[in-house]
Amino acid sequence: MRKNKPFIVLLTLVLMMTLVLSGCGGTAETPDNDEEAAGEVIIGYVGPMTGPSATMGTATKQGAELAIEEINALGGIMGSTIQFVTRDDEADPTKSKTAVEELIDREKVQMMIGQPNSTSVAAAEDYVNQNKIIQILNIATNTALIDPEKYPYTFRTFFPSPVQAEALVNIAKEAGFKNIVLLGDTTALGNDGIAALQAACEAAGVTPVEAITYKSGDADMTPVAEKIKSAGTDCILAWTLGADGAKIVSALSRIGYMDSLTYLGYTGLTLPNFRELAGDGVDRCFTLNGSWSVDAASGQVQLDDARQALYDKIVEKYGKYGAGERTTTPWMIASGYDAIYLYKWAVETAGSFDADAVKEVLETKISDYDMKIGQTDTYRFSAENHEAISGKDLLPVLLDKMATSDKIFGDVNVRGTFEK
Amino acid sequence: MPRFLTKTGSLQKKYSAWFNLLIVVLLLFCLVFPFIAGNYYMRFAIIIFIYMILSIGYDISAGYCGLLTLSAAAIFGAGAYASAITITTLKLPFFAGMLAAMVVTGLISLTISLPAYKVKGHYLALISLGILEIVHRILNDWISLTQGAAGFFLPPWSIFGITLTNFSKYYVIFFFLILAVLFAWGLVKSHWGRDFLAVKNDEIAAAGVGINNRKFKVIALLVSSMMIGVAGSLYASYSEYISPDTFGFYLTILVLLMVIIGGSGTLSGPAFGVVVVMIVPEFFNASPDLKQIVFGALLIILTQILPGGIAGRIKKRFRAIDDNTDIENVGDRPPISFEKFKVNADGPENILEVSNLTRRFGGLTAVGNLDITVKKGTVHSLIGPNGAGKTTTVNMITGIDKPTEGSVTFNGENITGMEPFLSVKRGIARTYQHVRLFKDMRVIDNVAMGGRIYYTYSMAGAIFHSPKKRKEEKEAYLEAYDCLKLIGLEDKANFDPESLSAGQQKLLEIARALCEKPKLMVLDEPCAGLNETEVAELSEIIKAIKNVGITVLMIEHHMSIVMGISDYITVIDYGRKIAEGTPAEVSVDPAVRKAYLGEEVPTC
Amino acid sequence: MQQLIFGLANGSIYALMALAIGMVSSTTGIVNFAHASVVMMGAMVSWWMMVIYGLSYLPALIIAIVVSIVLNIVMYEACVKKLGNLQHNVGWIITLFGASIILDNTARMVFGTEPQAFPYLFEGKMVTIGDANILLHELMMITIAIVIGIVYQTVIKKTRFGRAVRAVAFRPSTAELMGIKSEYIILLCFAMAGAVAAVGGVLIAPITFASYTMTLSIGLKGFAAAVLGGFGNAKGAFIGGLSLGIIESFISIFIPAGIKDSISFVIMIVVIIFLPGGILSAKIFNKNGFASEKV
Repeated sequence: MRKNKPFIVLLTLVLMMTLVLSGCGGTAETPDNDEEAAGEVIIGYVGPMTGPSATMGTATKQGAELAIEEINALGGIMGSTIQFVTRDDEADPTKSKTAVEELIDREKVQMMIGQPNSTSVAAAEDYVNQNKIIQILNIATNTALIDPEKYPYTFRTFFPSPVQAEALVNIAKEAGFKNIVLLGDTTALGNDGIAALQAACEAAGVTPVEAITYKSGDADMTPVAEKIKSAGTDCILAWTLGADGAKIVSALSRIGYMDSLTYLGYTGLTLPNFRELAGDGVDRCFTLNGSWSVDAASGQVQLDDARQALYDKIVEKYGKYGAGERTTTPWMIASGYDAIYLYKWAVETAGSFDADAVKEVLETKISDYDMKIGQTDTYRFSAENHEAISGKDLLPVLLDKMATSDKIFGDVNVRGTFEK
Repeated sequence: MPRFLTKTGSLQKKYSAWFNLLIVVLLLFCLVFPFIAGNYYMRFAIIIFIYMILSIGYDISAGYCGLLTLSAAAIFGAGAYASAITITTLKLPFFAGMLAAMVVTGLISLTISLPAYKVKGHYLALISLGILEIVHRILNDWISLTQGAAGFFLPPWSIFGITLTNFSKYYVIFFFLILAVLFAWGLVKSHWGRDFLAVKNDEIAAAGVGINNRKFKVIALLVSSMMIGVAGSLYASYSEYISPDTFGFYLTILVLLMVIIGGSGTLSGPAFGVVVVMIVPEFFNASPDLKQIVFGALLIILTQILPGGIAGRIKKRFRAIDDNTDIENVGDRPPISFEKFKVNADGPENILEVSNLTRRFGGLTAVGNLDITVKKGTVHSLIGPNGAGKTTTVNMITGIDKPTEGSVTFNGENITGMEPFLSVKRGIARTYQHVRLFKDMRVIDNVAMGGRIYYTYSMAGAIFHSPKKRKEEKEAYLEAYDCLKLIGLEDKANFDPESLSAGQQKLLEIARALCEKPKLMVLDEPCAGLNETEVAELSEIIKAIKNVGITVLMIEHHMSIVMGISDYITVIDYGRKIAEGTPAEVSVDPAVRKAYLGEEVPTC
Repeated sequence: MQQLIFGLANGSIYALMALAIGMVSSTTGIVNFAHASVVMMGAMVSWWMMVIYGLSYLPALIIAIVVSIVLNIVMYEACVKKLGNLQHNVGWIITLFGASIILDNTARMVFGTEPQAFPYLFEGKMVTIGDANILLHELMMITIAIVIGIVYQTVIKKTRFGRAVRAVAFRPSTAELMGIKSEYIILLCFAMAGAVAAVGGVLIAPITFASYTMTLSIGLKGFAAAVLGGFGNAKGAFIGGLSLGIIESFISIFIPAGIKDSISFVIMIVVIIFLPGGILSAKIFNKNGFASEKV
């Protein structure tokens, strides 16, 4: 029997409360400070900075930091310096939700860059919108995240799942593939992707042979490859992340089937060292890119000045891609960078930090925004549509050229051609 | 009356007014907290409360019962999902969800505890790790039920049709925390809690005081899982969104860390731990990279330098400085004597009959065709050289080992191969060659454990502190105190057993055995490691025990005591009986002199 | 055929892990829960040596082996040694998990989060047997694993060191009395386990890619294989590992992807319950749990 227990219980509780209280003391003052310091605008970002999807999370953070540094050096947004608060959610939706609540309640953020993981966005999106925080999703693809009725303050500057799915299916259909197989992992991402692909197939009148799933991060992907082979596939529409995709491609090469098919993946497939991981099969791998990148006449991808300038800045600040240096992809950094500038532009156009005013600007005056470093050149926001990009803006690009160059909007991207 | 005996150490009694004041202040503080804290801190406090319920629950099995499982997160998640599905898909009220959570987590605990029935240590860790992974896969892949990795949204939390605001959520969860603490308090401050600790400390000694180890392991896991399930259901309803990723290995490690930091096997420990584990990450917002490394380092360092955690350390310190003053004011107890343990004289004359007892380990026959008859009310010694099979014989008599052949009859009943916890109830108590005390309990608790077979109050009684519980506990502790007095250790009642000398520890084991009120007491080398004074003292105690009618079966090498107090002696060598008779007969037996005593008779 | 080779190749890695887990377990009775992390470290270090310092395969492997040995020894010193009686104090389960967390996160900080390509042996040459394409690398995986297994078995059975290991495994205190330094033997076993870990890591890395999460899914299967074959039994480790690999390889064609991993855990749990000594031990678990313990 523990005789001193009550005492210790008490002591614990006291300690705990002291700790919590001491924390409280701090917060009670914070809101006042923020209100008074009119010279500050607080932008929040929650994303995975540890764990398997840390690259995405870190890339967005780097992009945002780069933009904020520049903006602050030039006097901030309408004279207010930007303060950037970030939290690591480890890609865990529940942690993400807690972190978002913390940023909103304690840090009093005025704008948030959405989490890269769709599940995390879904978990916290209600709270963000209840509190009238402008939220820009720069990476998350899940369809349901954007809904101007339900989430009036959430905008997306990236290709959502249905847009990508539609583009993938149409490309495959036009190329005349017969045995199309859908491929996705068992995570929320894969489920959403396969659902979007199936919907797009139905809309386009294409009947896929099979939908194959696998477990993300599995050591051995040959069973997946065998399934693909036995389905007699000539085209895979793949909702796979880079590492998994590379593993599957190399497994397909192993069993000697890669030559018989075309691997068409959504944008998550891009990985700077895809060729090294996947081997020669990469020559038959394609992904999607914004139509700006492709020169209509020659099929060559040209990097315009704005994007080239940004790429140079990224290399200058975060280093070249490679082991021991930067491991983040430029387009993700760019999307974080763009989100900040988009917000800056909207606030300045509205002449106010008020969320409703900013929202209205984004919905009505978006054609005036000329920061051309995003996934497309034109953003298509309107009161009914909070998606910046539509299916028309996408083209297939040979993955190899994009990936190995470390310039997703780089100068050597070549539009792929399909051979059957 | 000596309230301290069942409730607190004397230091605590001294300052009880302060403690009560502290409780009131704390309660008040928690009650007004939402009014002074912002939304964020209120949420922070809610999460802390939920984790407290979770880790207090986990501590019951891992801390008290020593069942180190790694499936806490899976059980928490299963509880959360069970209640979420009940509430959302089946459209049932919140409490039905909570019930469902308890049922599901209870079932999962059975899948862990049924193997735990047999195995322990790393096997248990591996099984629970497997369960963690399997539950995780089910949450991810059974999409029609759990909505898969995308997560599960719940409707706003409502109880009895009233939708809760953030404020009311705080109070509801605080209420459940209080319930959980009271529940755990009632449980661990009863013989149940002590039994769990006993199972953790020493399964053999636990069986020796009548504990069915397997039953208590199953119960500990069941209770603990259901409590975690309750935490899970609260979490689901509070959060209104749950996803499988939350309930992974990382959470298990966090819960483990909470319990380790705070102090496993203590009631307040987990609460301490939760606070520390929740606060630490706050310092690492800027560099999340380091956070997990710090957690890993804490696991390694704390396990080694602070094995009892914060609470354990405080407790130890208190026991060390406890002056035991209150014990002297025990009140007017009648003077104690061994008469209290007098055994009535019915039953057969030969209280213990061992016939043809054989134990083989592989090809080695440790004990072969042994016949021993012990007469009631005698001191019967079993002697023989090292490795002669004495302890094996005694182990077979007390049920710790099973004979290959032969039978053991005790008091006219065949008890061959009977589990030790059952033979205790028939009146066989024993001590061990290497002292087996319950090191996480005080001296007085150790003795009181001997009387645990006489408790009759139920688990519900324990939790609600029923009058029956209070009466029985008081009786048991007064009796244990009497036993301590008989062996002269009453002034050490509140100490840790490890602080006693080797001789005192041996005496303590005898006191514990005495507290079982046995008909037969088996002493395995009671004099080993004792000095001459202590041996003399012990032989007086053994005589006193014999004088009240308790039969003593003793293994001993100490010849003066064997010859001095034995009525009969059986000599065995190489597992076979080579002589038997009174001390006088045996000491002149040529076979004995040759095989055991050697050519010269040793003096000691 | 193809499936069989995949199964054997993966299985040989499970077997190597089970073997290393068994080495540690045989002398100390503990299960090294941080083993998968050491395997990962072995692979990452040799990758790092090859890519950053441009070393060739063999020197990189040797450095990785040395690092893994050092890691394992440090781990023993920091996490296990001070705990005293490892049968009664199960604190090692906690400390080893702590070590595993530290290793994983250090690897993430040092080597980054992106998976990296790791070269195959023989530059990924393939041979075709029937309708199956088989990488020479895979054949090497199986061969190397079996060679290591045989060498270990011979060392244990035939040499003085092996006898010492068996003595320590049987009863450390008695071995100590016989002039065997238990601690030294245990340390050597940890070191050997580290070396085997590094080899396993380097062999599996081309297939899983080198990243700090590379052993996430195979780590637990090493334990499953060890349980299946019986702890501390080289033959058992191989039978456990290879059969697990083959079962997985054949079964994964027929069942949904998500459930595949659960299969090995279900097998593991069933084996623990019904055959705690592993499939090789015909000994049915003694129903009386105390018999093995000295009273």
